[in-house]
Amino acid sequence: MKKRTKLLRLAVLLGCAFHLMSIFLTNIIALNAFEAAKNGLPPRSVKLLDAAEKVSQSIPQCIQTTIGFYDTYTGITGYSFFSPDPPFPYQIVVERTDANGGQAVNTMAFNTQEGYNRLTAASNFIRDIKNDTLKDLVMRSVAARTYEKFPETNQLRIITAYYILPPPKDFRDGNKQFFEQHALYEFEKYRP
Amino acid sequence: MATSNFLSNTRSMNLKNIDLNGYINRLDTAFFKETNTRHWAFFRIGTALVALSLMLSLKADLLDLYGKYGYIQGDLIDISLPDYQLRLSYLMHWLGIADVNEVAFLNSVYWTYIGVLVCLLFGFLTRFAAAAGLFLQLLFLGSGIAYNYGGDWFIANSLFYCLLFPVSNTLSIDSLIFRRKAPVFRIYTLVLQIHLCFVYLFAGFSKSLGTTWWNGEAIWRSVMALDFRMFDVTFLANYPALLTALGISVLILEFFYPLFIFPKRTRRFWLLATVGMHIGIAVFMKLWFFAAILIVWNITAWGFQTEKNVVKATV
Repeated sequence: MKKRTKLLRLAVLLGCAFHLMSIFLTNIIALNAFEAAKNGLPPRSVKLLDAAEKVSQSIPQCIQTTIGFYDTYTGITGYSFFSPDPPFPYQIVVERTDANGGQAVNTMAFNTQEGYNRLTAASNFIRDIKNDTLKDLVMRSVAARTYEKFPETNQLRIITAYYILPPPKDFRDGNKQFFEQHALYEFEKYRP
Repeated sequence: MATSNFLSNTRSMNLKNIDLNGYINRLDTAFFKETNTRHWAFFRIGTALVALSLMLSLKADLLDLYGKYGYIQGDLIDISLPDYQLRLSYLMHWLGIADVNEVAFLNSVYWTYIGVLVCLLFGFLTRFAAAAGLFLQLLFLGSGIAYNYGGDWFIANSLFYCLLFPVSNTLSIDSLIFRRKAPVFRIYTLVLQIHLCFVYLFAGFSKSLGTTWWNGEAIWRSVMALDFRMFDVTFLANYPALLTALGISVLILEFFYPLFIFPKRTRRFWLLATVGMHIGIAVFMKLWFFAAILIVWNITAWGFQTEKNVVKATV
């Protein structure tokens, strides 16, 4: 085997090792996102998460930054879908009232089924915004787009709510699903 | 003097005992053995088809999702992203067309992406198409960060693999035009296989930390969620044992995926069960593209006989 071929193969091997290591470490670091859910988890899970946290803390910051950068350009992400427990869905309900009092209740109005499929991601994005000012701006942005799409709208109420689903046993016993309101944003059409 | 002689003799003895060339040759055979290329052609075509279908199905919502004045305005998205993350506003800035009509700009990027994916589908200028596709997918990923889900990230990852690995040696226009073909090594398939093992291992592990996957409530919540609900499945409340069995099956399937997918004896069952799980996700939760891209990955990694001179598919 030529020396050049050997070196090329070594480079391929090292590249693959780095790539796989990035996937592994990204997912170890991603487990830190469960910090908030720790309270509701069994003790054995908390112990495991603590161990994972220690491992991720031991990864030098420069490596974490490099991996974060690499992930952004290669599409690597954490794979903890619907974990540790699927949360109660966060819903955005948009109530439109026109000048004649006619009402329509919807959510963000998309034109395609795939657009609607992305509502969960959008709702979770809004739910996870910690900065109140930013959250307020995002809700104004949703309102502005709604007014643009439905110009006949006069008053607009955007309600964020958790969709609480009782466990199967309670559901069987007659307890039905319901919305638990989280926040309410009210808008009025601007008339100069 | 005697001690140093002894040490140097021991060291040289140990080095002589280690057959370094033997190790290198064995490593070389394990990782750089040439394999068939059909599974990579399948990967390329599958990736292109899934990405094309996804983009075509989103056409009517482009402005709402990625527009500067979409539901969540571009500026608000931008401040949520790290500076180094690609986004559509960067492209506008780089091209010096900040004042151009936004609809025209979005449509141009969109149709360019569709064109690039068609090139990838037919294997025409494949590496260039994969590089351009990855770049454009990353632009949409950044600008639509509020709306992304797993499928979008897997598509970006697939385009990255199409860029790196020789995916156009067969069933491609490139293979008809260009004589020289890049060798397809076993390590490429191995990377995809190990990547999949990480996907399911971490998915299974993180699910096992909760309580609802063990008692079936997670399945109940997932299929009953308003945004995912495809059918009226309220009757499932009457079958708690079925919900529990489904929840635990998902845990076993995902957590033990790395253990049972490698041995040939269990591979076919585990692959079929995994593909079945993804079909379930597509049918009951409307996550068609997420399911489709993972089915493409699984079949590419495990569904083909990759040994050279054996062209029969195992599934």
